[in-house]
Amino acid sequence: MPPTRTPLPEAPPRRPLVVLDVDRGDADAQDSHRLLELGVLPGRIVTLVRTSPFGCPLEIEIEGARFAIRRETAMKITVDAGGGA
Amino acid sequence: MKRVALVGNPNTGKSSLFNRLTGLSQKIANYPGVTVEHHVGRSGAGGDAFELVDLPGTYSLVGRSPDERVACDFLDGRTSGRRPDLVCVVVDACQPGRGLFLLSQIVDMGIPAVVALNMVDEAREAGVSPDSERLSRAARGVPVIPTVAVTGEGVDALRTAVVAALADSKASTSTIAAVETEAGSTWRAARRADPDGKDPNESARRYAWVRGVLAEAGWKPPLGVRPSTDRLDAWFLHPIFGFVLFLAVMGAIFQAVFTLAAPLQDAVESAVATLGAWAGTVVPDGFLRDITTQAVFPGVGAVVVFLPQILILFLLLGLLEDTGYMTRAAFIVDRPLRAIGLSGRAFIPLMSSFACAVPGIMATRVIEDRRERLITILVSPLMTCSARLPVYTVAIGVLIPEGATVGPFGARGVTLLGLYVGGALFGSLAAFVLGRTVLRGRRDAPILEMPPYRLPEWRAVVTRVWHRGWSFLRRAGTVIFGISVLLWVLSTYPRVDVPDGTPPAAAAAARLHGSFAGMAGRAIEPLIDPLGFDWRVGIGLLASFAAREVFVSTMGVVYAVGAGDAEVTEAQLEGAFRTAVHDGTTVPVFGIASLIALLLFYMIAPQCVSTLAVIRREAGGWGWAALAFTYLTVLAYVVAWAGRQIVLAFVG
Repeated sequence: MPPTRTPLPEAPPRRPLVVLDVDRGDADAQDSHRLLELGVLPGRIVTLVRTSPFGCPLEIEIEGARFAIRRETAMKITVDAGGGA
Repeated sequence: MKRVALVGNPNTGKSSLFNRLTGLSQKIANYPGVTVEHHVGRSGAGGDAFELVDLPGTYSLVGRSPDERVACDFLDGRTSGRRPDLVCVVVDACQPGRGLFLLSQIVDMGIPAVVALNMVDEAREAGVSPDSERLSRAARGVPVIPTVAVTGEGVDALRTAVVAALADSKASTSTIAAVETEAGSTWRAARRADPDGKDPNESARRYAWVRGVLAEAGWKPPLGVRPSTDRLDAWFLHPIFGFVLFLAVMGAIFQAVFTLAAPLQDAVESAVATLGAWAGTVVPDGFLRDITTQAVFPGVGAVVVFLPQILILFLLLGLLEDTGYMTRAAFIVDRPLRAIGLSGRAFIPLMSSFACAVPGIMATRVIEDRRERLITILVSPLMTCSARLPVYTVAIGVLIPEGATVGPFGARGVTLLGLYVGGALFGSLAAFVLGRTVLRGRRDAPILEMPPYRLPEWRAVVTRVWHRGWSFLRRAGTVIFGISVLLWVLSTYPRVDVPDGTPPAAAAAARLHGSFAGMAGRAIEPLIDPLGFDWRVGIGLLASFAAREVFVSTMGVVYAVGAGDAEVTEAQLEGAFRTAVHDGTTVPVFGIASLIALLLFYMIAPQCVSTLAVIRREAGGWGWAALAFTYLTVLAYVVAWAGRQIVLAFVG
């Protein structure tokens, strides 16, 4: 079955998802480089844990640790939303 | 002596481990030409002793944040012209991946390493602890020591491993060569080719190595975090209750600072009064007794009274930070802070600034984005720090009668709350304006780790509160003592001859009027007259540019000199404020309008030499300190003037 490519904020929450791609189109944006350093790499598992009371930022889980990232940062992470469903 | 650097991700218990390894021998070091402070301590005994340097928490050694650059510069020898002989990498046993990522960079730098696999107790409890021996073998022989910094478990073994690795330099170099081929190029070559760390393949390569090591060690990543953290976050980050709880926690802190401190303050106050009276009887009559009873006790005593409030505020903020709640608060307020051009990352520095702007401004180092960091630094002095409390308490005590209420609340408390809110509002306004003028431009989106909730470690909390309290007392004993004595001298000399038979109060006023301090106060009187202040207040304003709380001690000295007697207690100082009149008139100096002007002026004005010095250091130049001083002073004057005009229009 082909993967269902979905930006992380639109993927179902509280479910382990496979990272397909991290967009680095904007080379000056530090957030995508930081994501890679934290281990958000294609093939790894990421979970959307929750959204802040004000709708942004989002809380994500990578390898047993949780991070708060802004919605626009999360939009750079493409996951396979269909695989586990 | 051999030098060892302690490196690790944030929230891995690195500082606790540092405290365990160095005990009481630690101090703050400033390397020549470098303005950043390093925590340095000694560990081990005799010939085995080594110097241990605690570096800021970091995820990577590319230098994306000021904190990371500090770590990077130190490891590469740019800080002191010398690289450390060994790096101790603190790795979180519950999630070793990111710590090993850091290890791969250190090993690439060509520095021998020892791994402290910290918090193994938590990892064992969750059944996810890596086997340290297998991990060591997989990581090409880098020694891996399981530790629990909080209890001290494994710390002796870690020290032994560090000493052994320092003695055995050949073993460590062969280790590095092996990893170098695994992780691609060396760190320096990689940085030369890609100084900003923009090559995505570097991270991927390093994680491939990390994965290989962990797989070889037989470690599988756990899914999910500790259930206790999940349960607490269900409440603290709840879409509705989360925000309500946030407001409740913040409200409770400020409430606790005042209610818990009150009885302690009374105790300190009566102790100072007793001590002052006793000193008055034992010090020989004359110049020394005058200085003791009219300068030292009124001056230093008026400030020491606020020690309980400061200690309680630092204690509570420290507890919130150590339990992990502060990060949750940052998560909740990121959106509102974004409206004024900041992010959740600015929350902890700004919150700390409510205790004192100096640690607050130093805490801005976690903010990667330079513009956001500068804005946070420039608005930190607008958060109501504890040094303003003495001034607020006295002025509010005069302004509002005891027992007055606003609805169900005490009017004094409401006014104080208003000043806190007012400072925060002007801070927001300043951040908004700075972000659209001097510091406009794109911001980097923040990424913030949300550590699991933990019980605070009492040792660390108590140590930190003790250090804060001690530095406050030291300041009271040195700066404020000095200013009090200097001020007494300046307000006593040159001696003015007063005709015999003049009433004592009038004679004292004439003496102060003719003194050096009186001259200075009168010189700025035309400038502060629009705010309703006379030359005596002018003396206080001038003196309090050294530190805000000096205003209270100065007024204590000014009026004690005026009355020719020691005035130590808040109540007596308030009494002096109530009866103060403009010279030659019966018009009170501290009418409603000028008291409000005084409060508004202190809410905004940047009267703190330490803050300006730390702004210069952290922002990188006197220009920023000058900008902060100018905009805050002008704003303080304009707001105080406007406040007075509004009150005059209503009250007459």
